[in-house]
Amino acid sequence: MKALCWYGKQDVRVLNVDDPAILNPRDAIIRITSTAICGSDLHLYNGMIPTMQLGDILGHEFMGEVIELGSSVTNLKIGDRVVIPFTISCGGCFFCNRQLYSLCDNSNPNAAMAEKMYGYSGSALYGYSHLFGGYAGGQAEYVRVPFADVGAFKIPDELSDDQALFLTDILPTGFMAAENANIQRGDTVAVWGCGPVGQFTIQSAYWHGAERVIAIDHIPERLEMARTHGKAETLNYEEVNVLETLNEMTGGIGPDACIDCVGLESHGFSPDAIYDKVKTKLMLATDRLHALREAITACRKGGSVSVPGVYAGYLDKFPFGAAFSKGLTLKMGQTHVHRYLDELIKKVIGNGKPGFDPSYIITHRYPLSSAPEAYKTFYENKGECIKVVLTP
Amino acid sequence: MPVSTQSVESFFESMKASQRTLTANLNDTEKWLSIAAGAYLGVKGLSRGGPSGLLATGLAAGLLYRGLTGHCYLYDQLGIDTTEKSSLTVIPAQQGVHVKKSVTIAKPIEEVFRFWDDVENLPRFMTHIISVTTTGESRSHWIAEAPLGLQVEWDAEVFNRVPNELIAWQSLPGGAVQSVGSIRFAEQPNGRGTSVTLNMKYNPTGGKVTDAIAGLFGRDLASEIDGDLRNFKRLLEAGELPTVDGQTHGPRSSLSRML
Repeated sequence: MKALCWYGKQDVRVLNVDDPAILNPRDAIIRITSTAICGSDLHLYNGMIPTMQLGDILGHEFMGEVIELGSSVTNLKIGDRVVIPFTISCGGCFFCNRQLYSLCDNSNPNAAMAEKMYGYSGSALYGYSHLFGGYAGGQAEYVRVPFADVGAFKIPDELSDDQALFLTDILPTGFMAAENANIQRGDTVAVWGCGPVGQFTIQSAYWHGAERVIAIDHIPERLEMARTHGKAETLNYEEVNVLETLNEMTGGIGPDACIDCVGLESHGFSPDAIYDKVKTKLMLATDRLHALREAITACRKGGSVSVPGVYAGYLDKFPFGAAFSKGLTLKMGQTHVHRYLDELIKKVIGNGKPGFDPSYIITHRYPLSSAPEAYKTFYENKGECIKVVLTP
Repeated sequence: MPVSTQSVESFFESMKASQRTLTANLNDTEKWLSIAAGAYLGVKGLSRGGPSGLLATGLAAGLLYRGLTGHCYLYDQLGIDTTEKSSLTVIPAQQGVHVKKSVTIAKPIEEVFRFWDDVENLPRFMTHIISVTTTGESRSHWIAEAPLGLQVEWDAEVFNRVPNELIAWQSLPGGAVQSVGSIRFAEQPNGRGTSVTLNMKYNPTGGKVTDAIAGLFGRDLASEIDGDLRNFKRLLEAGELPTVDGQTHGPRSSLSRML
């Protein structure tokens, strides 16, 4: 089959490799019909994630059709159309039993390696380094899905690939970000970062009862999308003082909930590497952290700060005193995709009324064979290029 | 608590206690060789004089002390003990490596106990054990991987077994491996499942030094127990061991050609 393989910094190649095979009884093989490039794939593209090996297959947002099943998978059949959560979960441990799927104890074969680094191991991820399990990703023609009985969700034929694809990662991530923000009916919610996750967080904030959403970014195209599709008021942080403006817009109270969809974009994954980066690239690192500091500083007393953006190490000058004195609630973490999929599939179908169509974020399409060009475009042109979909 | 359960605990306790006092770690042959070498060097050193004579005399005093007390500080540091032991002890105090590790498994205590109790299940999650065969009511025969592609074999016996609470075993004399261990099972509240605590001691060929070197390659007892208990949990909770061995990937060399 054809697959996108990683060969180092800004070197990804589409190569002919062996087809995937069933390795465990709970495995399935999926023929991929659509796959996307995630913003976090750019960290791999830039060689910032340790424990990658030459030839690793990338991609964690993918969907397709079941073509082969392991002997223990009884709830799927050949030909089912499925979306695959990017987090891999066993479905049987303490954490899976409590729907904390991204904290699964058992899915990462290299859990001992992760424990040495972080003191614990979360779930494995597709195509995201050997620290996170070393599973081959889905920017390919076929993929092996472990624990397929809990890790593949059937979707009805009435949904197109474009409508269903983002159920794998970014739509549930936006949804959980809004849930973590503890939004009450009538609340004003501020969202930092208008990438794909930010866009879906805006939408999810309304689903959770928000009256107003204020979106913050500096890329005009992304702010435009937040206005037209997200019905959000927007702030360009290069043009206005965000803290002052938010204060004015909320009558001096501050937003009820603040959501950081930026994260620490510039990161290596070891705590020491993070600390070094903060120290050596001070300007860049303080910029990145700025979103979280601003969210905490802006939030009203007794409000909630939700963090879907990824952080990996130690943070410098984190305003914990402000968070404490305002009695804030902070909630964060990797998305428990499995927990939200039944509900979100219903939202996309629409229950009699027109459903939510997440495909508006797609700005670029490429065949899988042009994936290296797609990565280059996505990396170099963040204004125009918001979401890239690849077709095998 | 059954009497023999306590004897396992008191075994570990006495082992720790003995490390705090100066105990003999040389056998009679070594003691006499040490005394003889010390006396010889002492006579030579005193008769020669000068710096080299002084050095020899110092060395002689050390050897005499080592022989007369039967205690060698170097052996102590290296974990070596050459004294003759009574056949009652599987692994003498000061020898071997002790590991203790706990893990919680989200399954009922009966199921967890039953799985471990069937010794023939053990190779399914103990990576370096090739096979365990039941040879008697409480006895079994073990075959394990050894370095350089070799195999080692030994017999073991369960000397205490309390259903849903404890299994304790020890290796029998004459085998290639000396080990003693116990696993305790305890129910955790609110449906959290069962905690298991493995307490194990074994005597690697070459003593603690070998285990320390093996540790550099992640093959020491602590790493192996860690991996085995993790696999035990995975097998019970997920029904299989997660793996990427044998999955597809691009060539592991950057010389691969683009399509």
